[in-house]
Amino acid sequence: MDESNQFEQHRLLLSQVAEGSEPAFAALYAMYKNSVYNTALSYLQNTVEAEDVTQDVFVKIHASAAFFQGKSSVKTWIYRITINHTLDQLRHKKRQKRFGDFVQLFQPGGTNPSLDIPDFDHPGVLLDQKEDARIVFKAIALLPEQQKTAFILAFIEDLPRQEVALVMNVSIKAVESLLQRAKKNLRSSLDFLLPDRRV
Amino acid sequence: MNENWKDDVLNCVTGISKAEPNSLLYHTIREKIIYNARMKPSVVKKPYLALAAACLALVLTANIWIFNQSNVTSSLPTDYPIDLANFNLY
Repeated sequence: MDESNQFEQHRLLLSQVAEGSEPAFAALYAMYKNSVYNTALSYLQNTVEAEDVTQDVFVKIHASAAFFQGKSSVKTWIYRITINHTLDQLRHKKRQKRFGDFVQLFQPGGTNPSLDIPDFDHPGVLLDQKEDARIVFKAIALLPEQQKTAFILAFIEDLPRQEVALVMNVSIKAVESLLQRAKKNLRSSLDFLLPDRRV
Repeated sequence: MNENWKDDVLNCVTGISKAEPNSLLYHTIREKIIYNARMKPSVVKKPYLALAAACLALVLTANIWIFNQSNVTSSLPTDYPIDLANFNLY
């Protein structure tokens, strides 16, 4: 199936979802569940939170299917909803962490491990690469939002640069620049996250 | 300094295989959608709301106008002065 056909098929499915068709919603879910879940997982680095976001994203897709204007492809629209929702979730987590740090100031010696960023093992990573992947995900978590989005979409989700630009609503040149800066920041993060590898 | 090791480390996440969400997630989503639909307050669509507001404004304006008109007529002198003769018609 060529791209424009697929584009139209997905649009048709979404209009059927807007009319209340359950099979259309099930088909749309089957097509995009992995993209939504894996994108959320790369940002949040927590399977339970990623599933919560996936749930919220599909509820939102169902609720706003009637308002889809067709200015972008369904895929781009779904990625945008996912990223916006995930970034909101991340900001909420950061606020919680800041509050936790503030509370800790008044509790000397007390720790709140639930608010720390734990080691994350992505289920899709090969066993012999798990250690390195854990470090890379830690470094990704330290990136600024825009660089993080560009890196996740381009390298982990493996989207073409043009699609990344559409999802992020920026030019392809801007995506390239974000990716360069992201890689530069990741490399410098690796220096202190993996000091024993510096030869 | 040789920096290739950093690229090797970074490449380990490039195009990693996709993880699958819990197989029961779809049912949870359906349940949430049904729950939301039940809990959703009945929302009046904007055009109907505007029409209702316009009707209300029209009724209010008409009431005020009628009230003013009745004040004007009551302040005018009566055409038929009420005298004893008018009460003795029957």
